[in-house]
Amino acid sequence: MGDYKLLGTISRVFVWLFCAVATGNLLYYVFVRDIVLFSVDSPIVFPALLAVLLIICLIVDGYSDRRQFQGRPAEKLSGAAKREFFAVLLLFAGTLTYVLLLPKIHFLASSIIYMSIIAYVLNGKTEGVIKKILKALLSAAIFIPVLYYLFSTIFHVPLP
Amino acid sequence: MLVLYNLAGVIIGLIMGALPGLTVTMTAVLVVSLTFGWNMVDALSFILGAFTGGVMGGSISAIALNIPGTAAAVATIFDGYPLKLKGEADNALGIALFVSFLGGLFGVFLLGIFGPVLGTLALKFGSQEYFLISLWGISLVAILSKGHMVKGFIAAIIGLFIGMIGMDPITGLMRFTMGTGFLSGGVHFVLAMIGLFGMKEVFSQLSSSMTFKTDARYRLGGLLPKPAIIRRILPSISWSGPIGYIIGLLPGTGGDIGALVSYGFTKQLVKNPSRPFGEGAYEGVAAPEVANDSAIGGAITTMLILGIPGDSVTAVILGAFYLHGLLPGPTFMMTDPQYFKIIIVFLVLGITFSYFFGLMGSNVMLRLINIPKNYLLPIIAILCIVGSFAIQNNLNDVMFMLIFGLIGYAFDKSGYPVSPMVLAIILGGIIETSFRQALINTGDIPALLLSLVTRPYSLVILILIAASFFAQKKIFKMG
Repeated sequence: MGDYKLLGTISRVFVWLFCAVATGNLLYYVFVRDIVLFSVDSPIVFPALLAVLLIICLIVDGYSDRRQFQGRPAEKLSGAAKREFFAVLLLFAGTLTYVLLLPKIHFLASSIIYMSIIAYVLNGKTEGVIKKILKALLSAAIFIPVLYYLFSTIFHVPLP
Repeated sequence: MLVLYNLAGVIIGLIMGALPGLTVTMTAVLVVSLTFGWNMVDALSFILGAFTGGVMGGSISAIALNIPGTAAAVATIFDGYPLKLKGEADNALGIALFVSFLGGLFGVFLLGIFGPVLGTLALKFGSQEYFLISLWGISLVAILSKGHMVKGFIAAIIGLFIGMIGMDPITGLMRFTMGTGFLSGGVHFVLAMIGLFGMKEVFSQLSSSMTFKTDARYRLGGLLPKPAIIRRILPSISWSGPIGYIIGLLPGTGGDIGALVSYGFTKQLVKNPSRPFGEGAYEGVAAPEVANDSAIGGAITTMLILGIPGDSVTAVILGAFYLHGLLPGPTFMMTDPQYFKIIIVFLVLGITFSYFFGLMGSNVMLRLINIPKNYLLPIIAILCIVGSFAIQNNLNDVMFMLIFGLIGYAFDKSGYPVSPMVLAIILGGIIETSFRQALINTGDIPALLLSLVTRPYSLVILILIAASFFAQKKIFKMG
């Protein structure tokens, strides 16, 4: 679990931030927009009750996490965890770039490029670079046209 | 044509189910995203085929690799893999497929019987009962979240908030949009499903071993059921079917829990197993496999009659039903009885195809397990992207999906379960609307709380909630 302590912190920051934004929104409705909080037809009565519940849950969760990790020395990320986080961020960035390129380049071309790069980068085998590149390109050149045909002809799915 | 759609769904389900790490939920998400442009009946046939195939496919890799293809096949490895090590892989898979077939049909049979009965009962439910049942589903998923109950509730509440983004259905107020047009249409639940179950899995798979290798082979002749073995496992089948169905009925629990409970029961009830449990007992393979497939019928019963998904897979299927204009819930049996029959037919077809194609295609699926993940993961990512784009032909939706994927990955690795969040996004509308209707009917919050214990049906549901919380905690400990 130590390797994922960093992700635990990121997740906790995210849920607290989410809670703060939601609560801030509710306060905005009450104090700026003058929407009554506790009335039977109030549109914010349910979210307000949820916000209270969320704050209680976050406090309990924070307390139990603190007890769990209390006294433990700060753990350094292992090499495997570092590689994993790097791979996740790389895949996220790559996918984001692919999505942004989709409207500019044709689905077929951009998907072949995307799949080739990901297949090459994730290839953990100790092979020659040329062999890896050829394998990645070949797999993309086979799979992507098949997918394209399935989407456009069989499933009639609109493509970006 | 409908039969072909069902068959295509079964084949996709069997393959995805057999591949370790690719869950039935993820399979359901991906096939649902392919059906946006289809008519409802074709889509139902395809989706239900994939569901039945996915559950059955999990046992193929469980026995060959000691790695369950799906969560529902976790208990199958306890005795399935030891059987393989003793040279009886054919017997193990033969039993698993055959009893899955029987269990699946049994679950659908019970769905046909109890569906209409429960449908009549559900018509008497008011907004209080609806609120409680929806809450029950979400809270049970939260409580069963790998021991992180509070984190499960946090994820569920965040899901409810996400479900509220956009226009309030009663007053028309724009809520939680931060004043931007970007969020004014709300967050489509299918995006959350694809991101949190599909894309998240792609990110998570980066950490695991890149490829599974197996040179195992099954003999078709050896996979056929042998009378002596069937006689031996018959008692285990007889109680595992009802156990699986009942557990499938409970909101928030599905085939994985059903399989574990059934295995535990069988261990206690069978005094003279074919071999000691854990060392290759035939009964130890049969019990979980019957239960996880009969749970399909149970989960579909709850989903159709109450509109509450039994587990994450049925949550996705419920989302798909909404998407195609089918509205499961108490009035379903009154308004759409023809679809009830159609669903039963598709399930029977799917279970039958899954059995026969599981028998004939098991070796092909073992070969597919060898496909390197560096080829598989970008394809799944592309499927997620195409699926999320297809909802509204909008690239912003793809961005949302990617963000959900990243959040899902971070949550998953740090103990925050994603299933309650997805379930809450899907059920959020029902929960809030029924809560507010009940509030308007009763006048204020204390009166609403009082009505929950004075109305007979809501009191029964409250008791059931308390009882199932207690029971499921025990079940979870057994698992």
